[in-house]
Amino acid sequence: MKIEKIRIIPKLEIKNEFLIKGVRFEGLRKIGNPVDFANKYFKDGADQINIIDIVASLYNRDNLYEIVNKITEQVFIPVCVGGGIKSIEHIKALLECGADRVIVNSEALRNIKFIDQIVQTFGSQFLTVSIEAKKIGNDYYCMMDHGRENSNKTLSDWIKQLNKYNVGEIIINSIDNDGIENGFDFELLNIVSNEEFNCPKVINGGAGNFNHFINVLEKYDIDGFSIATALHFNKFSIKELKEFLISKKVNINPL
Amino acid sequence: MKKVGILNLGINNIKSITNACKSISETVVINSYNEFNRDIDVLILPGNGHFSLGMKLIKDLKFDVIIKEFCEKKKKIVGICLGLQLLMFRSDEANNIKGLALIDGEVKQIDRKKIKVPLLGWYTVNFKSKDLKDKEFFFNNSYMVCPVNKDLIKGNIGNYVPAYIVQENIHGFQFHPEKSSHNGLELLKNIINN
Repeated sequence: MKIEKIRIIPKLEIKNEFLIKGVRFEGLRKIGNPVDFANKYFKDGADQINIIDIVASLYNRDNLYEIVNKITEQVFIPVCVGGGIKSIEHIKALLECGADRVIVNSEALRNIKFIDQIVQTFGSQFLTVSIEAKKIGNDYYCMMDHGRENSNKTLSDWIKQLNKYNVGEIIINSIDNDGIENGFDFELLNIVSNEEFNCPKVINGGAGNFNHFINVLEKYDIDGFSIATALHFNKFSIKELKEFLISKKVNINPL
Repeated sequence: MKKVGILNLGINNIKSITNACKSISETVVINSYNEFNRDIDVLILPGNGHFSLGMKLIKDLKFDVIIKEFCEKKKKIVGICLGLQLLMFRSDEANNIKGLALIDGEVKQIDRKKIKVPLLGWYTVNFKSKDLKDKEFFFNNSYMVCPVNKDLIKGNIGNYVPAYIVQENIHGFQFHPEKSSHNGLELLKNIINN
């Protein structure tokens, strides 16, 4: 058994003060209060909580800061926050709200020097780069602004480029499988597994039943799973998922 | 009730350790030497970030004076992650910078051949004491402390990465108890109250 434990990470997408969820990043539905959901997932045994404000770059950021503040008062596991982060000032404000790590996507694609700036100011362990990949033609492209803009960078090119930087963690989201609950994106995983990584990698998009996790772990070296729809809509709980993974001898944190 | 003082270097996620300690006992954040009140029972040096920046800030804020005073009085000091590493003599991360030198030994880069680096996530800590059961804690680091006296290591990961160090009144965690859910809070509680 490998010594590293597979992390189970609920992903909370936020718009204004609401937890929302879409399908393939579209058709967003209001689900509830993100603070209540974060608390529930913490009590249920989550290993980390990721929060993405999908409109923080468009409107003001105060909603996000308030939500993070409330969550970190009661949730004693790592809380990682992203959405429209463009400056060191944004990051400092999130740190003050109790965030443990920031998640950056669009701004890193637009200006890769931003990664260096973050790493030099806060250390690489403070930075997670999120990749939002979408299949267009025969290739996967990295999208920006919650799937609205194509960076025209392919997934494998971007991973190669990121590897030259001191990134703490990479999360790879499949936009095509987002909210579908039909299993993780194997075509995307094949591309990912052909690349070298010098940091942990987490995947997101498609979790719908317990076997979906085993299917991935049998073939790929993955450090964590990020889950939204299946948890938000009570398809299964983190506790049930962890019990199942333990029964399959997967090394996880049994909390 | 014990009073906890947390040294704020200004580069850390001070809020999570403060929230965690507040859930256990009376807690104050110390932002400068002048704010230091001697009624504190347990001093916490939290940490994230670079060894050289951490050491510079400790000196700028005169926190080294507070820490040494605590040490002389044999009052309890808790170092977390970088806060533990700063208690050593030196670090691979910053070759020319002297640490606080309260624990004999150095901070070494973790060997990529032995374990995936950075350590990011949950690992089982094997404790040497019979009172502590092996449990999972959250780690986020690329360096580890190597005390000269190996008996100080009270817990480790896979017999390789020292995770919990005790030297008299000093307790050091390489992991983040404040981010390790119930396991971490319980451990912090025991150390603060005993």
